[in-house]
Amino acid sequence: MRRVAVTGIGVVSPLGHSTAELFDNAQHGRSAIRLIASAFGDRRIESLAATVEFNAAEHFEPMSLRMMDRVSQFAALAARRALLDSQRGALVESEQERAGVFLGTGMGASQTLDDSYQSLYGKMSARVNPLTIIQGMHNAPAAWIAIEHHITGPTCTYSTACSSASVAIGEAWQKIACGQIDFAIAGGAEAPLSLGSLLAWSAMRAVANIDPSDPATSCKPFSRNRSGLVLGEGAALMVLEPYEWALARGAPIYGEVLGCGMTTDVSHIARPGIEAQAAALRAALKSAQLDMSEIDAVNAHGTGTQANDAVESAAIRQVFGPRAMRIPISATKAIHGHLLGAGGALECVLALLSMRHRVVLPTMHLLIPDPECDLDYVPNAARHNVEVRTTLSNSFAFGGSNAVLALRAGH
Amino acid sequence: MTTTFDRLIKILTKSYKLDPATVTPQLRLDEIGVDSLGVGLMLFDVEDEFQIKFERDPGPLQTLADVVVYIDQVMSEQQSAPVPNAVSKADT
Repeated sequence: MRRVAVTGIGVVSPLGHSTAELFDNAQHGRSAIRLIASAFGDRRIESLAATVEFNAAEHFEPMSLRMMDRVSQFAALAARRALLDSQRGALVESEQERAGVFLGTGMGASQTLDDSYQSLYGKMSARVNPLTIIQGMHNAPAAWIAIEHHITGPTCTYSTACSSASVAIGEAWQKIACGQIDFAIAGGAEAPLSLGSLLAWSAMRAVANIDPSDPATSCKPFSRNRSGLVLGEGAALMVLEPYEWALARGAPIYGEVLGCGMTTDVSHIARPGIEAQAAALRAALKSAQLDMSEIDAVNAHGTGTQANDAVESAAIRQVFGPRAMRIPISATKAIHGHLLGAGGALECVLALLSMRHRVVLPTMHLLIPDPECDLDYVPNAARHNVEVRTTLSNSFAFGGSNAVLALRAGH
Repeated sequence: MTTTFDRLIKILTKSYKLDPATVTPQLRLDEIGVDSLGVGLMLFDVEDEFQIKFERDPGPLQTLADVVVYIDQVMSEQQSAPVPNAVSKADT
């Protein structure tokens, strides 16, 4: 098995468009969550969301833009940034077929679907935009990346709800580690802020109540007064390549993907279970050939729902025993929202940056301790000058698709 | 008065980089970059702009002039007859 390095990062996120901006906002706990208003006939419906500030026309040709849903725009731009960041340059022909794209997205082209419904059932028009299929197909974001960078090896899209990106990164890691490919762009993209999607999540009663004192603080992972998640949008893509090759070319090395543990919770379609989450954590350790004593930090799934945060805490306790109390656990969804199928990628990026900068990121808006969540969540303030060499990054999804990435710091 | 050609060019600039000052009716669609998918999108946009409905295959459209002739033909046919709705509320 070959070691796998992360040599480039590109983000399009509610917390910024560069890794520097993203990390600065994350370490200072600045929340991107706010109230947005969606038009619905002559009404306006308010929702909490973490949005991306973005003018797509600055980045794409007009015809490409018309063919791309917002989720593809995010993916393509983040991949472009990741490749640039990797200082890798364009792939030559012999490298192109040894390269792949591995992208997670949970809801895919949510706005395209919404627009189609609006046209078909709202306006009672049987005229459907001829680009609907191209905009809406789930593999479009990955395909745009492959087209732009002439990546002719495997282009795979993973849709396992909230773990999609972690699964995608895990699959890319495995393919490089086994020698099937030598280069991957891996991560996730999500643009779930269409009105239909916002209302569907709200109807499920999974969404946080608006904090009347400050909507930006509405998502409160691991706090006793947590009331749910807040949807976020964006993309995070990383360049992965064999570690030795990265060293040889003097590439920037953010860190390594050491392994990935995947399990399926078969107890319920949407209710998380302790056993399957703990099994995913153990599977990640086994995959990375690490002992639990070697884990320095955890980037939690930490959605801010009652069920997830209590179950995740119990799963971490089960795997780490008494040591669980001494492992710092960061839940950054409090400030960038839940990016669903891209969440695992943005959180993996934050975990890598955290190790690189020797800063443990805070879990914001955690003001009321919960007896069921009694671990060290790094509440409300970052910790500086902390050596973190290994981190587990958790993603636990509806449908029971759990994925945990094991990451190691770069140099 | 704005001609059919002018209105068509305005539509095409939504999807393609065109300099309206240098575009002539003899310009071929493929020279602008309009492929078969692009033709479908152009006709969809034309239906919106001209409030008409294309119900038959236009046959080969090679130049902008071909498209203008096709639009004018369908407009003249549909101005003398009511435009049929593909789906009406009564059908559902």
